[in-house]
Amino acid sequence: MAELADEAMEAEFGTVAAWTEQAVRALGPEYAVPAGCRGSGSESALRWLADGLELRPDSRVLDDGAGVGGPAGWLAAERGVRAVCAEPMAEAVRASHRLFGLPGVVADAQGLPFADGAFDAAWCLGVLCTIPDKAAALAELRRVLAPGGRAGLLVFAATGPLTGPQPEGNTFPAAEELPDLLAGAGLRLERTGRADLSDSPPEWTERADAVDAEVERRHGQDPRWQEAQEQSGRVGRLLSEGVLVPWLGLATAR
Amino acid sequence: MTATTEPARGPLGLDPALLEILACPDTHHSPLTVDEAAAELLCTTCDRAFPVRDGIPVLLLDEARHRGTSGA
Repeated sequence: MAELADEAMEAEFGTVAAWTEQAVRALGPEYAVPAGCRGSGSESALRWLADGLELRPDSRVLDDGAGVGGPAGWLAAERGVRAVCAEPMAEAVRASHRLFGLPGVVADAQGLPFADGAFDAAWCLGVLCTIPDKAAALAELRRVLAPGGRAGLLVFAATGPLTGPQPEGNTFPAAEELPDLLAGAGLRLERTGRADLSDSPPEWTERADAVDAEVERRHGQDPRWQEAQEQSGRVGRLLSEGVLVPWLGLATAR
Repeated sequence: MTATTEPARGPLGLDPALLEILACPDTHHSPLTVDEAAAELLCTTCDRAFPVRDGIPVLLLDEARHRGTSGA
């Protein structure tokens, strides 16, 4: 996993995934989706993307970079569709399997372990910035979609030069280069939007905060928790300054 | 918890619908076969064997075992 070799990335997406699962188990199942959706968009963003994916009950769906499975868990509960979770961190895949009962594989987005055209729809939420070769990842996303299949993306995209401490291991694509990146991968951009990352029901925020507090209580002194907090704090600062935007896109596989 | 249907269980505890679409992560993306005794998924083109740990396939090129001289 050379592309995720950074310790900061390992801490944020590996170790903390296991701790998040542990905290959710302590607090209760209703905490799983809100905690698992941290960093992957608000409920309104998930709804916007899920609507655009034009899902049917029998749609075959991929969550590319699924983390601990929060958005896929939400999709199963809201739309009755069980997404396959692909994610490079084994701890996170185990969490998605145990918390939501979803099928999952440990996989690299730049070399997806699926047959061509295996899915009718896919989404990729907040992970493109963690992938070094974004064109390769998008080409893989396109390859595993059937022709006419839908892709939904949430991308943390740069609107200008980034200042101050950057989240390690992340490279943020410029918002204006995204349409060409998608076109180059064979994905026709149909609609774009901006996610309102605060637009979730109040109990989501409360529950996600409660899970964070529980992890903090158990592991607050661990440098890996502090590192993960520092990482997400840096992304949060860039978003609040507006130099990063939560770009939403819906595309069709040509 | 929120899953709508109980996943079916096939060899190595894997969902048969998932097994059907799994492929080698290498550029040839060939189908995989199940080696239940070794708890591995074997590529039908190259000589890689991918581990299945705790019921989860680990389909990373750099965690695959090379089976030897047979195959590509």
